[in-house]
Amino acid sequence: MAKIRNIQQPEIDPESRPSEARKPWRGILLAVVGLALLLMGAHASHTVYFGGSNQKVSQSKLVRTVTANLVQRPLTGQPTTQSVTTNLQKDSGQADCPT
Amino acid sequence: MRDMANTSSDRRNQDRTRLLLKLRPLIQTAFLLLWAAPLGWISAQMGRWGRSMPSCVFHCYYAGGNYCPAASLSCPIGIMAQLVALGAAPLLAIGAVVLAGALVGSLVCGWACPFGFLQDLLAKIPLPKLRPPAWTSAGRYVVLGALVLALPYWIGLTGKPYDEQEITICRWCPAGALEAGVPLTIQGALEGRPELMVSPKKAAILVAFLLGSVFIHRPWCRLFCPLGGLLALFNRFSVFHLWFKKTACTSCNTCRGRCDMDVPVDQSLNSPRCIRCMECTTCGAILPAAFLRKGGTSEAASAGSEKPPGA
Repeated sequence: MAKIRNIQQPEIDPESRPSEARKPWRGILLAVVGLALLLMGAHASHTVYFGGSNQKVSQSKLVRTVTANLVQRPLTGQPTTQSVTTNLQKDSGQADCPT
Repeated sequence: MRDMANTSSDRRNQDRTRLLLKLRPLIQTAFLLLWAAPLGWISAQMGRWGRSMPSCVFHCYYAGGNYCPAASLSCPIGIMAQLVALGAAPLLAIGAVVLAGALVGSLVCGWACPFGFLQDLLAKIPLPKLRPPAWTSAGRYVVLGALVLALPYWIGLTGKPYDEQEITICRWCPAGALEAGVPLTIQGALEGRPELMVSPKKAAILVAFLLGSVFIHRPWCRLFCPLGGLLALFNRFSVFHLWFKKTACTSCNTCRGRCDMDVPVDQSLNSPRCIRCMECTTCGAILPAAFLRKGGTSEAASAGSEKPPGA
């Protein structure tokens, strides 16, 4: 347990403490918004651009695809998805992915 | 009679929170082991599902100069910067941060962050501690705005990909160096590939912050961490929160004295500077809560119906 620091501080007056009454629905509403964004993002991240068309792939196929360098960068002006946002070119001396 | 019931329930609350605080280092260690998955052991044990989760970037999106695009779990800040540089909306990362923030706020910083845990341990070295003024915590939002959003986007407009940009959070982040670069270096050495997976610049920043942790409590979290800054914005709205029970307060000053982050606990309990380590709950007058508090009364309502002890 950390020791209480000996700091000169003014006396606490419990009556003067501000009330922080909450509206729980705000947190719940934000959580729902976050979940919706998460699902939309997960959907987008599994849509891969294969030479000309967007395809939806599973996570394991996404890994195989990426490690085999089959993903292409989209052409300029096309919507980018999360799975095509990387440096896919390996240097010759670079180690393989540990998995 | 009612005062007696209050006192015994206050004591129970106090015992409960003290027990929870004793468990905190164990919980932080458990999360450290979870984040340490880059060593590959966990993913190797999880069969097909594990193989679909590249262990190299279990936490950090950027290690050794390479990005793994198929990471299921990686740093949302790295993903945000990467996608912003491409002009894409980082929905997955924003969704993860909003969801975590709305549920628990910055509880993640105090209980789950391995870099924060290491800084906590280093802060235990008994040396005088510096106390940066409150305004310095705005540095987290400067880092977020400049290094995570503005610069990657601006440089990205010129067509330069994120991994070739020199000034990015991923190239400087000491947490990434610790949680991805160091484990990957160790893993490579164990497998006969002695290769430094952290740039000298990033390693120097890591060492500087580790040294700084001895003199300032959690310097990275307090001054620069953009993820902590983002999560802390939700402290005022999160489902999990702290509340002050007036009747249990004996003005002992313990709450302020125990706060290592120098949060004005008596003025703003769910402040964006709070990392929710919950040390302030030791006195029993500040309580953690989710949804409606026990008894179903708001703080304002209970204040009107209860008198502080000794009054």
